Amino acid sequence: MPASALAQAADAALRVASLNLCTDELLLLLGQPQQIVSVSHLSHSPYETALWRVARGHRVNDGKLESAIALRPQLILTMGGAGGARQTLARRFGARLIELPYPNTPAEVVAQALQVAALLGRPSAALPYRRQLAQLEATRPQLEEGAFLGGGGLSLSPQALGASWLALAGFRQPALPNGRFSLETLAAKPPKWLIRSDYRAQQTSRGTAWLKHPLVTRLAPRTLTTDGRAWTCGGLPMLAEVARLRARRSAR
Amino acid sequence: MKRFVPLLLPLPVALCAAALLLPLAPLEGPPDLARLILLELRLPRLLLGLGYGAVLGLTGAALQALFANPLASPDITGASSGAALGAVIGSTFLGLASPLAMGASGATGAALALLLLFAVAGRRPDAATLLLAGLAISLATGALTSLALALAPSPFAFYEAFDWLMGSLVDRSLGQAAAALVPALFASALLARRAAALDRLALGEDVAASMGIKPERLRQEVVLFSAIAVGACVAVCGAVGFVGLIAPVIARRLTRGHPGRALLPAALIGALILVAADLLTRLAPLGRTIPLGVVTASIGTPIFLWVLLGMRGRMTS
Repeated sequence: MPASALAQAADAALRVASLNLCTDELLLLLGQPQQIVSVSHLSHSPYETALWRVARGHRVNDGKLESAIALRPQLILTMGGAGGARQTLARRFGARLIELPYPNTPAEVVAQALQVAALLGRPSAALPYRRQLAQLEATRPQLEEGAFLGGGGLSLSPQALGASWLALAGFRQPALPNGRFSLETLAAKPPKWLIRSDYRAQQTSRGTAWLKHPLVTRLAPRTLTTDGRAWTCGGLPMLAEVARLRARRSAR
Repeated sequence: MKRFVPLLLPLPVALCAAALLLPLAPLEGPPDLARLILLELRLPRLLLGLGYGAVLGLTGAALQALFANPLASPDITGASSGAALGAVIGSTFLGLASPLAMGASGATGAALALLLLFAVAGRRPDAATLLLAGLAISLATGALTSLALALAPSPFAFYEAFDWLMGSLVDRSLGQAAAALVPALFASALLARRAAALDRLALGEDVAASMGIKPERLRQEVVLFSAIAVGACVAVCGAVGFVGLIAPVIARRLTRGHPGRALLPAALIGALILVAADLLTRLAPLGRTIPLGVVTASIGTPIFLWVLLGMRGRMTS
């Protein structure tokens, strides 16, 4: 058996669990199906990620170490966290816990993808995403004012990762008090574009009712709808979402 | 007191003008924008303040007359939080999410809370029994509302518990205002027509019966109309406390203790209190929110204690 085939077999034997929706996305997009022993429960929900169909092929955990450890993973991925105790605990069970920091820019998102792909023994799996980001960077459109809009007027800080993705799509996120639109602001100073999230738009809440106010709906001609699920983590699925937003704006 | 009434007349006009015009800054732009903000935002907010406040005052006065107890009010009897529970369960679990359907769910919740109060406390409970039974129902329905929001399909719903339990008039549309106020207006009009009957009920059930009043039927009507009015408003604005207690207390002083005659003055006072409380919430620093219920509770608690102390004084003298 050639050495590369042996390495591939060893990689495939690696058992990996993810405890967090954002690392679920990385694992589902970069790992081989046979490597994945568990993903977080959020990934099984069509409301949370577009990858839910793939995720449902894998066992679910509740985001806690305890619910994944019984599946004997060798590598556990999660995001955020203070490190220390959980990593020591994971080591006692023979697993390596990787706590990725929250990325701040699209470049950091892709750098994390390269890191995770290397951990999975599949470095080439992340390369298409690096190419995709490079292509989007090379074709940056002219910036126009455009604000993210979610239920209840929730928007973004101009310093947030989401605002960086918006900039890549050609929109400059304005600064708002508490990162939120009031209806009066939206009536008095509506941005040129509104990038409206459809995250859980079909479910009843005061936030979704807010989006049906006439002062919001009258801005439909300048509103572009975006798949809100991708914005939760602002991870690799955002590359496709940025391309979609560019196309939608061009079509207007 | 009557000498002061003409002096008080400009007050409603000034409050309504302030509610429409403050803060001034957003209205200083182009005229079409100012019109949009006035019509689509400030007007529904003012209408809801007036209408919901009037409903709280009117139903508070009716419930106080019915229970022969100055502490009965939509919030203390559990009707408001029952309405919030009904509207939350209807909208999040039963798919009744249109404003009118939420109003119907709210009315059902309010009616069930009032019926439960009758079952627990009796028809004319003493102050302590009414307070304890009402408190228990309010706490239970408030906790169940939070639980329903925590288990709602939308993860955002839980963060709206404050809105549901403390109330808010902010960012409601004219459509929502109509959904709350049209049923509330009909129910309130029917309730107001029972003013004379409620005055007679104050003389005792037997005396009232001898004057042609059917106490049981009157009780059912007051519960039904109060539940519809409170339920419709709570479904759109959430539960607001204390207005339904304060307004009738002040109104009865104006009507020399006649509980039935206090209904319409209580509605007017309730409307003014809620509009004034909503104006005070606008003093919050930029980006911060002062919940409406916090303002009404801050105004209402001293009056509540004053009434309670007055009752204790009467009971011990």
